[in-house]
Amino acid sequence: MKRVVNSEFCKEIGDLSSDDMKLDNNRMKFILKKKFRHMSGRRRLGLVWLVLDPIVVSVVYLFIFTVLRASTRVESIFIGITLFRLMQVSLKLGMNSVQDFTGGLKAERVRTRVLTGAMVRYRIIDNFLQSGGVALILFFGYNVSPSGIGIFLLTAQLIGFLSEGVGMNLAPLAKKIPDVTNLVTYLLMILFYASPALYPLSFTNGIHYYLNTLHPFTYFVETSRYFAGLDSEILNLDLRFFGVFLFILLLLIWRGYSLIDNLRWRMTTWS
Amino acid sequence: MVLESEIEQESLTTSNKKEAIIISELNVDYHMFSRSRKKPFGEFVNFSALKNLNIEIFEGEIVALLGRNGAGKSTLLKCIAGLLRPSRGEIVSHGRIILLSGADPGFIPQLTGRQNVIELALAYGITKSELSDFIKSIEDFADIGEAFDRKFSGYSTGMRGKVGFGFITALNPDILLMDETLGVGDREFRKKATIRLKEFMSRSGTVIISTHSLGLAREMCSRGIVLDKGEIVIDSTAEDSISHYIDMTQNGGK
Repeated sequence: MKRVVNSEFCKEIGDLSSDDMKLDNNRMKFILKKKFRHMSGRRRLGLVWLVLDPIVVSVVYLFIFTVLRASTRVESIFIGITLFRLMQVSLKLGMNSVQDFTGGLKAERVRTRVLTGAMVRYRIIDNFLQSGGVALILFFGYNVSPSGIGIFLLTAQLIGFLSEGVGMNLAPLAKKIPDVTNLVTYLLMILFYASPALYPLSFTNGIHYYLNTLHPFTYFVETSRYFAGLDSEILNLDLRFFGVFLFILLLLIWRGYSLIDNLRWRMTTWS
Repeated sequence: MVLESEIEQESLTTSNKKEAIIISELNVDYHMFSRSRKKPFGEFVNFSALKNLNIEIFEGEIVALLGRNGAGKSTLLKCIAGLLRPSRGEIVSHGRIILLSGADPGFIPQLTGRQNVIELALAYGITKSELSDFIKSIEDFADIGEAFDRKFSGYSTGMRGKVGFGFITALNPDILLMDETLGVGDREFRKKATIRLKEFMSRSGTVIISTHSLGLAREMCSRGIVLDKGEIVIDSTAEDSISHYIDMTQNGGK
């Protein structure tokens, strides 16, 4: 196999053999397992925490709302919190995605398609684990329809990928200027309270309503609530905005994943 | 007459040799963050690690890479392995490259030594039919007894080194790059490791070894390249390069 290394790329010339494809597949599995092992660490419940986390956080907020005597529906909070946490986690993972360009294999270069493949598989499973527990609660505990559950799970996948895509676009900046990570943390905090994660959009009015309509998350969470048969403003929102947001976000996903090769290469000499 | 035919044979062999690695005009710059009184918010400064290297390495050659600490040996090996981006120039290589740097191919602390070897073996291209022999060769070499089935997080540095070194030297690359690897383990292990390393080197097609062990370089290598401050000082036979390196380090100059 011929390999060319220069300032632009590290590329293997020629088609991959079936052995190479098999090797890449084994490497994807290795990286995937390693990521999940890293997530579970020495915790007794391991990956179950991924399922439990959005449920526990939702329950905590439910308690706060009970104290405040707010009339928010439980399902609404579950959907909002789960989707927002997924957005938060995926965005941060996207920003850190290119920190380890070895994929955990230190003696040999791993092809970028292996890293990308492992990332996509990890995202699908992570999205599913983080939303699956809540989906079961909504289905069995609150009689949300199967189509409502389906849309919720689909929205979770979409939000996970979109946020990771945005995170990957921020990755080079965050690596060069680590302060960006702090700013993103604060921004997420603001977005959490200034988005209909904790409350349905219909609870707001005036400037709060207007600001929420500028937040892409609003459209996803309100769509999910609408299909779950809950209070939702989605039909009153300007869906052209949603279309533009979605288009930009999809572009960012495409850009993020297609830039991995370039990013991992450029970052090798940054310290 | 005999000498002439030997020379003829030698030149014929050289012209028939295929290039395994071609390095042309290679430059590597690190971009490092630095904070000073004049720049309290910091700035990125470039540090030039390799400057205009031109090297051709042929299939089957065993090359010693010599130089003081910070000369650019590890940077060059990482670049050839495709783990570091050059700022200018190009490297063309033919064949699978393994970089033996330290003795950790990517072990996972939560797994046992055996589980680590199995998972990593598949990720490094060992087939399922080769797996049992592969594991046995590492277990025999590492010789850490029942600890092989204990969690890796509980291993001492020496034990980790033994399993790691055993693992990497059980692979079959076309091009092997080695970066100061015999630093781990006790005296007995180093002896064993040297023997295994020699076997590994003879099995691998092309080898570049960055070492401070001049004995190993003299014994195993046919060619020597001395680097200093990112530049080639001499590229000659192993013997000439070693003499030059000794002279350089003893006199403190080039």
